[in-house]
Amino acid sequence: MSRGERLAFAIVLTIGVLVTGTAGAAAYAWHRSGSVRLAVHEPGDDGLDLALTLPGAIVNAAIALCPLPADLALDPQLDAILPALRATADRLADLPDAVLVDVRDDGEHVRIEKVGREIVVSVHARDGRFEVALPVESLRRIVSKLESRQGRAIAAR
Amino acid sequence: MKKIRVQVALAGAIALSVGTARATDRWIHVRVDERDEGHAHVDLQVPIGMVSGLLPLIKEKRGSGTIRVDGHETDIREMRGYWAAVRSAKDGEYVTIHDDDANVRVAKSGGLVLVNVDEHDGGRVRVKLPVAIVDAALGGSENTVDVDALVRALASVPMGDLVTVEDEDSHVRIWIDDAPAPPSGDVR
Repeated sequence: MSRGERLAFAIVLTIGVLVTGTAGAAAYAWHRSGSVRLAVHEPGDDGLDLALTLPGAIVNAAIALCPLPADLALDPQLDAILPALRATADRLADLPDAVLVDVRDDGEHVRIEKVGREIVVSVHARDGRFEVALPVESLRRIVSKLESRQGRAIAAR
Repeated sequence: MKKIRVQVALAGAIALSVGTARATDRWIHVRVDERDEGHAHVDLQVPIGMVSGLLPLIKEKRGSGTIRVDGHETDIREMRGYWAAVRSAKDGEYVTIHDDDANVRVAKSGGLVLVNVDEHDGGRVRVKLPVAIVDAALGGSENTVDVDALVRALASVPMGDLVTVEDEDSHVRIWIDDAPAPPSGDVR
C-alpha cells in the first residue's frame, strides 16, 4: 500500500468512526430522552380522536428554547413550590415502575404510574379516554427552567 | 496496585451505599375498597421519602389543629394530655368497652398502640400504631400536627399494617412496605 493510499484509508476510517460514533450517540440520546405521547379518544361520530407522539429530544429542545411567560404574579407561589417540585422530579427519576395512584369509581378510572422513564397519566371515563406520557427527564428540565427563571426574577427584585 | 485497590474499594462502597439506600426505601400504601353500588376503589402508594419532598406543598394548608372522629372534634392539645398519660404508663389494656353495638379494646403493648373495634354487625377495625408515630404526630407545637416528624417516624417504624377497617360497605388498609404493590383488582 502506497503512502497516498494509507493516507486516504486513514481519512476514510476517521470519517467512518466519526459518523458511526455521532449516529450512535444521537440514537442513544434519542432513546434515552423517551417520547411524549398524548392520546385522546371521544366516542361518537364527531368525537375527537387524537394520537400524538413526539420524541423527548425535541420536547427537551423546545423546553430549552421556548421563553416562559413573564407573569410576575406567579413568582411568590413558585418560590414556595419549586423546591418540592424539584425534590419530587428527582425522586421520580429513581423510582421503580409502580402505580402511584389508581382510582376507580362508577365506571371511571384514573391512574398515575411510573413506567420505565415516563410518568403516565390515564383517564378512562364514559365520555372518553385520555392518556398522556411524559418522560421524567422532560419534567426535570421544566423544573430546571422554572428554577432558572425564578433565579432571574429574584435577582431582578 | 495499592491505588487501584483503594479505587475498587471506594467504588464498591459507593455502590453498596446506593444499593442500601434503594433497599431501605419504604412505601406507604393506602387502599380503600367500597362495596356499595359504585364499587369505588382508591389505591395510593408513594415512597415515604417522596412524601417529605411534597410536604412544603401541604404545609401551606395545615389544618386547624383539631381531629374529627365520628363527627366529634377533639383538640390536639387535649389529645397530647391523654397521650402523655398513656405513654408513661406500662403496657396493658387501657380501655375495654362492651356494649350493644361493639366491643372496643385499646391497649399498649411492645411499643405499639392497639385499637380493636369489633362491631356486632360484623364490622372490624384494627389499628396498630407504633408509639413513635403517635409521639411524632402529637409532638408539634401549639395546636398543630408535626407532619415532618410524622413522616420521619414512618420511615423508621417496622413494616406492616398500620390500620385496617373492614365492614359490610368498605375495606380500608394503610400499611408500610419496602416495595410498590400492584393495585388490587388490576383489570381493564
